[in-house]
This record gives sequence, structure tokens and C-alpha cells, in this order.
Amino acid sequence: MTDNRPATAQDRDDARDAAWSDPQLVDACLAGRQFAWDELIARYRTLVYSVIVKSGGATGEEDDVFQAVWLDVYNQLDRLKSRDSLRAWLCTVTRHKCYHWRLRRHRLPEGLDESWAQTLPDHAALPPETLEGLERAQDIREAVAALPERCRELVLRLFLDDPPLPYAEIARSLGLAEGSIGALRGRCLDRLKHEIEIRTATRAIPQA
Amino acid sequence: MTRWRLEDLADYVRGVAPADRKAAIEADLAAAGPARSAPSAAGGDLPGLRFDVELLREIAAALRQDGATGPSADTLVSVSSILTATASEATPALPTLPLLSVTDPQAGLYAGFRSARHGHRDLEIHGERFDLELSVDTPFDAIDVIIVGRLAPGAEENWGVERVPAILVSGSEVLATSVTNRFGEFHVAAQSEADNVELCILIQGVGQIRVPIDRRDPLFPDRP
Repeated sequence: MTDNRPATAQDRDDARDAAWSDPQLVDACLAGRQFAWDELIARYRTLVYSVIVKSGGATGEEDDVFQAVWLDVYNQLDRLKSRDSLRAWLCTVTRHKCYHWRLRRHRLPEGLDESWAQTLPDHAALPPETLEGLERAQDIREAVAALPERCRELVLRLFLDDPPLPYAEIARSLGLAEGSIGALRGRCLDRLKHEIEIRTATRAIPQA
Repeated sequence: MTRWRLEDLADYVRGVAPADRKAAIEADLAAAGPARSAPSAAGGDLPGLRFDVELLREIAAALRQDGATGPSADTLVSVSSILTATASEATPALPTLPLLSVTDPQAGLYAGFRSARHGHRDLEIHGERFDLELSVDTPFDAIDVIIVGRLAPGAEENWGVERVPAILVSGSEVLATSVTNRFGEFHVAAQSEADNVELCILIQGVGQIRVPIDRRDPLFPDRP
């Protein structure tokens, strides 16, 4: 990785607004672009952390495992065969790291080393429904990130706060008249639903 | 039956729907079958109603999860700096004075070689803009590299010592990452057989400090 030309403001905006596909992001990381690496982490940090938490076995050490996972991601990124499978690959790297982390924390039987332990069934495998739920949540995060900025801000204000914010306050925070929120809500939610459906459908297509 | 708009269902999921609308939606949900993604051919779209309500609940849950759990800010800084540490000429190296290497005086001054201190050295590094103290352990019978350090700014400097990445690298491979605490202290450790391990400290807006980690015993540098 050798290229560290300063990123343009447009590069950062494009990467952040999910205008960059995963293959574009991987290529930019391999070219040594710091903003691409930061966007990769931002895009997938919740998914990676959620897999760590759901895998169990690292209670209280989730942050340590998180760092170890991204070390592996960095050191192995050039070996990723299919750029389109980045998300699945990240889940696999994370699960393997959780498995080996757990092995190291438990003493192996006398006379046996980790290569023997690797013949054991992969108990870090998450139940399919758990993995599906994590992937679905990632679809939603990416769909929200793909919305135009005003829609994204509106969706976050609609759903993040508990108790929910009144529409007058949401309108004020967005610099809008309260009466214009209704139409905007409809357009943004329809757009969000469409973005989620695209991602879910794309994920269902087997990758070459 | 009513064809509900997404914004009406969003109000219902958020808990802000007027009472009569909430009752009407719940009546329709009770009549709906299992969730389905497409409108029914007969019209009415009741299974699509359940799908849309569940979708909105998933959206709310996913967005709230992002805010509730995740790595610490220190961890994110540490992870972000992984790439910076191995990029060539990412930030200029800070000029340094010649390295001062201080070994443990007990290692060889008294009764000769003391194996208990073999593989340990204390270093002080003074630069124009920083001071760095390092305690380095590279046990002769192991491949560990263990460093405890403390970073301080130069007298005329105004950059902060907290959350500065401290990274062990070997060529283009990153071995371990850490960040300093509010006192500028850090601990970083890795296992590596490589002879080209370096400690990289990345001071944002200022520069990089790179310290080669020499495994050779300072008293017996020719010993393998």
C-alpha cells in the first residue's frame, strides 16, 4: 500500500454516501487510501461488532477482538478473491477470530497444539437465523446511508429517539416547516423501503 | 380495509399514531395473514401491511442498535491507524536526536550476565517536538515483543498525548495496535519472529516516530 494522495472532498463524500461499491472500496484500501479504509471500518463496524457479541466467548474483550479482526482484515485484504463478497468474508474472518480467541483463552489438553484444535467442529458458527438477522440489519444500515442527506437525517430522527421526537421538533431541526414534513416522510420512507429491497434481493443472488 | 401509507404505519410503529388510526391499523393487522412482500392479486394488500409494519420495526431496531453497542472511540482510533502505520511517507518522520539506549545496570555491571534481565532494555528518545520513554522486552526464548511506553510533547508543543496510536509493524504487516491514555502511556505487544519489527507512533498533524526494535542483546549483539 503506497498511495496516500490527499483525498478530495468529493472522494470522501462519495465513499461516505455509499456511492462506492464494496469492490471500489477494497481497491481504494489496497491502494493505501486512508479515507477508504476509514469508510470500510465505518460501513462494517457494527456488523463486525455484532458478530463478535453474538458469537460469545469474548465477554468483556469485544474491543480487543474487534481490533484483532481488523488487523486480520488489513493483512489479508489483498487475498480476498471476490470483492463483491466482502461482507460475507468479513463475517467469516470475524467468526474465525472469535473461535481462535476462545481457544486461546481455554487451556488445550496436554500434548495438543492449536493445529489439532482446528480439526474440531467450528463452534463459532452462528445459527443461520442469527446470521440472517445481522445481514438484514446491515442491509438496513447501508440503505439508510444511501439515502439523500435530508432523507437520511429525517429517518434517523424518526426512529433513533426513544421516546419519539414530536414532528414540530423534527421539522425545526431540519430547517423545515412542520407542514412539509408529511410529504417528505412519505417520499423518504418509500425510497428507504426500495433501497432495502434492492440490497436484500442482491444478497440473495449467489455470488460467482 | 384501508391501504395504509408507509408514513401512517411509521407513526404507528413510533407510537405516535392517533388513537382511532392505531385501532384501525391493529384491526387490519389482526385480519392480515403472514407477512408478504407483494400486494395480493385480489387487492387489499393485508399481508403487505404486516410486511411493512415488520419492516419499519426492523429499521427502528437496527438504527437503535447502532447507537447502543459498538467499539470504544479509542478502539476506533487504533483500528483506523492500522493503514497509516504501513503507508509509505504517510506523514513525515519527526527529526530525532541520536538514540539514547539505557540498559538495566544490573544486567552486566555487577555479577556479570543476569538472565533475568536478558532481553530487556529501557530507551529514552528525545526529539525536537517530543520525548519518548520505552521499556522493551524481547525474551530470548520467545517471539514476544512487549513495549510499555510514555509519550510527552516538547516544551513548546501544544498537541495532546491522549489517544495517539502506537503500532507494531513488520514491513507491510501490522502486528498489534494500541493508543495512549490521557497520560501518554501505552502498552503494545505482539508475537513475531521477524527481525524488522518497528514501533510506529502516529501524532496527528505532527508526524511519525518509528523505532526499530532490535532483538539483539545489547550486551551480546553478536549472539543469535
